[in-house]
This record gives sequence, C-alpha cells and structure tokens, in this order.
Amino acid sequence: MSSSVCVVPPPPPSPVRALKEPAAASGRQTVEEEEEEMMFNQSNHTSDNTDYYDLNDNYSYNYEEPCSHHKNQSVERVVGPYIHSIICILGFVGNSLVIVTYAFYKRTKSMTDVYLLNVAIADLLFVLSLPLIVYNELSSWSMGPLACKVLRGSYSVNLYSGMLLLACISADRYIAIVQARRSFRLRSLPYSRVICTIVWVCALLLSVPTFYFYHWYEPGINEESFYFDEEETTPTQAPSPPQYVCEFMFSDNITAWRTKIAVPSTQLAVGFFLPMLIMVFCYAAVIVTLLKARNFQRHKAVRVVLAVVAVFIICHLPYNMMLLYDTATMFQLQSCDASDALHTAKTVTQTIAYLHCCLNPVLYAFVGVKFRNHFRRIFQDLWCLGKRYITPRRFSRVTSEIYVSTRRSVDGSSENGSSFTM
Amino acid sequence: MACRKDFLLTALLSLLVLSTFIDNTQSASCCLRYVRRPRSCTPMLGYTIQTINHACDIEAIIFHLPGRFVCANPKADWTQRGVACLDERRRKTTEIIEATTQANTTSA
Repeated sequence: MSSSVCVVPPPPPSPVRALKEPAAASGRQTVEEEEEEMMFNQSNHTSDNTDYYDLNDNYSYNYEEPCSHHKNQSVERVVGPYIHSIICILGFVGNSLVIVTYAFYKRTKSMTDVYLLNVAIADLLFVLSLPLIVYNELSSWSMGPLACKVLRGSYSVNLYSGMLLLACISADRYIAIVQARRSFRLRSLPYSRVICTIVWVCALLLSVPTFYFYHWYEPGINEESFYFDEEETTPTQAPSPPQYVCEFMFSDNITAWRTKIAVPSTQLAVGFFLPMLIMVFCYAAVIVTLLKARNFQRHKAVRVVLAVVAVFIICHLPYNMMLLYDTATMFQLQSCDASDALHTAKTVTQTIAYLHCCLNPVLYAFVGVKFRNHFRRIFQDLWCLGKRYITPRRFSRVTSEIYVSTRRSVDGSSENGSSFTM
Repeated sequence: MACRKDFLLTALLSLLVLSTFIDNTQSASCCLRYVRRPRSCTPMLGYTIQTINHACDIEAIIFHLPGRFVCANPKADWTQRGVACLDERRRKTTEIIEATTQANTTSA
C-alpha cells in the first residue's frame, strides 16, 4: 500500500450521507444499459488498465472486505470463559474475605483501613460484573439495554475508583512514613471518608460518557443500506437471529470523534498515568525514608513496597500501552491482520490487568500482620463452629496450627507502632 | 480438605456454566482499509454507509457484490459515481414497480 492511502487525517465533519444528494437531484431519463455503459467508461478513465470483471483474483488490496477479527475471537473464546472465571473466583474469594474481616472483626480504625475496605469493595464489584460482561459479550448482549449501560458503566466506575484508591493508599503511606509529624492531623478517620467519597464521585463523573454513549443496538440496522428487491438474498448475509452489540453510538460525527478519543484518553490519564505517578513518587520517598531508618524489619517493608509498585506496573502498563497505541491509530487505515493482532494483544493484556484485582487483597491486606491476625481469628472462629462435626483424629494438627498463629501474632505485636503494617 | 474440594467444585462448575455460552460469538465487522482499484457499478447489488458514529472508526462505503463486500473510500470519485449509479438504478426500479402496480390497479 502506498503511503498516500495509508495515512488519512481524522475524518472531516461533513457527513457521508451528502453523497446521496447529487444522485437524487440528477433526474436523467436514460435507458439503464446506456447509463451503466457510461458509468463503466467513466470509471475506466480514472484507472490505468484494469479489468473490472476479474472477480476471482485474490490480491489483498483488490478486495478490502469488512474485517471480523477471527483470530481475536478464538482468543476471546479461551480467555473469556476460562481465564476470566478463574480471575473472578480468586478475586471474589480474596476481596470478600477482606470485606468480611473488616465487617466482623476489625473495625475500621485508621485511614488505611478505610482505603483498603474501599479498594476491596471496588474490586469485588468489578469481579461480580466481569462474568456478566463476559457472558453478554459471548451471547450478543442477551440481557438487554439496561444491562449494557449498567455493566459498561460499573466497569468504568470500578476501574477509576480502584486505581484512584490505590493512589490514595500510596499517599497515605507517604504521609504516615515520610511526613510522620503531620500524619496525626492529616490521617484522621473522617478525613479519609471524605476522600473516599470524593474518589467515588470522581469515578462516577468520569464514567458519565460511558453511561451515556454506550448503547444496545443491532449493528447494520441503523446504517444506511439498500438492496434491489429481487437480489436481496444474494450477499452472504443469511437471515440469522438478531445480533445485538453494546458499543458506542453517536448521533453526529463530531461527537463520535471527540468521545472516541476522549474516553480512552481519560482512562489513560486518570485511570493509569496519574495513579502511577503518585505511586512512584510516594513509594520512592517511602523507600528512601525506610532505608534511612534503623529498623530490623525495614527490608521486608521495602520488599513489600517494591512488590506493590512492580505488580501495579506489570499488570497495567502492557494494557495501557496497547490502549495508547489503539487510541493514537484509531482513525487510521490498517489491515485486517494488523487490527486482529492489536485486538488480540488488547484482550490478552486486559486479562493481565484484570489479574490485579485478585492480587490487591494479598498485596495490601494480607501482607499486614494485624490484618492477618484478624483474618486468622475468622478461621479459628469458623473452626470452633465446625469443630463438633470434625473427627478427633485431626485434632493434633489444629493445635499446631493455632500454636504457629499465636507465635506469629506475638511477633507481629513486637513490631513498632507504625500504622504502616507489614 | 473439604473446603478446598468445595472451592474446586465451584470453580469447575462456573467454568462449565460459562463455557456453554461460547457458541454464537459475533462482533461488528468494520472496514479498516479501502480497495484501491475502482470498480464498475454493473455487478453491484447495493451499498452500506459505514460511519464513525457506531463501533467502526473510519468512514467507508461498503459495496455489495455477488457473494462479497468491498470497502471503498467515500471520498474517491469512483465511489461517489458508484453510489450515484446505484441510487439511480434504485429510483428507476421503484418507478417501474409503481408504474406496474398503477397499471394493474387501473386495469383491474
């Protein structure tokens, strides 16, 4: 392909429908064959020396057909149901354990607790909406228009709130460790609730375009199209049950162009780069402070901080790079294969990004000694409840487990009084 | 451990439930590039206008040929002529149909 064809500027505001007007205006009364002959001659002038009836040669440029992403579909068939359901189950178990722990055993005492609880709620809502989205994607949105808007919208809300809350946690740890003198004033409980409310409201506001512009529709119905009556069934469109999609739909080109650029750009800026910059800055300062401190547990703390940042970047950077590339080349011409590969890469990297919501409970909650102790109490209490149904044969194993847990909790209490629990 | 067994069972069940729905997957197909060689309007059966107002990201005219679709640049001269030619043909077809129905009603 020559470059002049490949590179096309963003589409002009003039609608394509204007193309139809001259045809309607010209009311020539010629014989049909004559006119077709004329058409044939006219187009012959523009080209060099091509045969117009060579319907059987298969040069790729000769038959640009609409692409339907076959490769990506086969990837989605594997990733969609199998890997996503594993993510859903792990995320559901991990995040509901965090929420249960906070609900029954650990009253939210500190700012960190409030943030961790909110992250767990956002992640739980996300893993609950994920199987519904996967199911609808695979069943041509059989749950209808309301499900389309609600699921797409809640996906967006949870994405933004989850990412912004992780940034809040890093800022909270920065204040607790680096700005320790100010931390009593800044890290009060009502303050943190206000911040969480602001984060959720921001997430909702940022998701308004998604709520508004995602529509449930049947593709092809709204597009301008016509066939000759007698030849209606000739193309490869077999009559099939209605296939609905849940995609962007706009009333005019300018809105379409702006929104298609603005939505992924906002997601990149607020949903990735802003939290990443905050995290990198805050945790870098935290690590510097920790390395200066004379605490025998500092190495573990540094390792945890590095793991938090590394997991965030490994999970979200590939997907956001794909999103950035996709947004930058959105209105450009590309081949079916390239587009297919891009979609496949997006599907795979998106799955890696989804994995983050299963890792958050481990990285943020279960890594903390205090939290682990509370969590162990849940299991001990559950154990006591279920004890009467268990045969006495396993008893010795139980006592050893309790012994280990109490020993660890003693270790935990010997830690310094920082709220930055490791 | 009973709890681990339950967990595994739940995982397998949900896998099964989800995998039953993977039959009729279909995404909207879009033109991503334009055909380079101009085409005559003779074999064309109709056309569809692809706008960026829906899932697709470029504007195109999709000409319907017997058994296949061809993506054309809406700004190209031959595309506009093809669209005009098809519109003219459609107008005539409807005129003929109207004329025949009118003739039928008057004769009846």
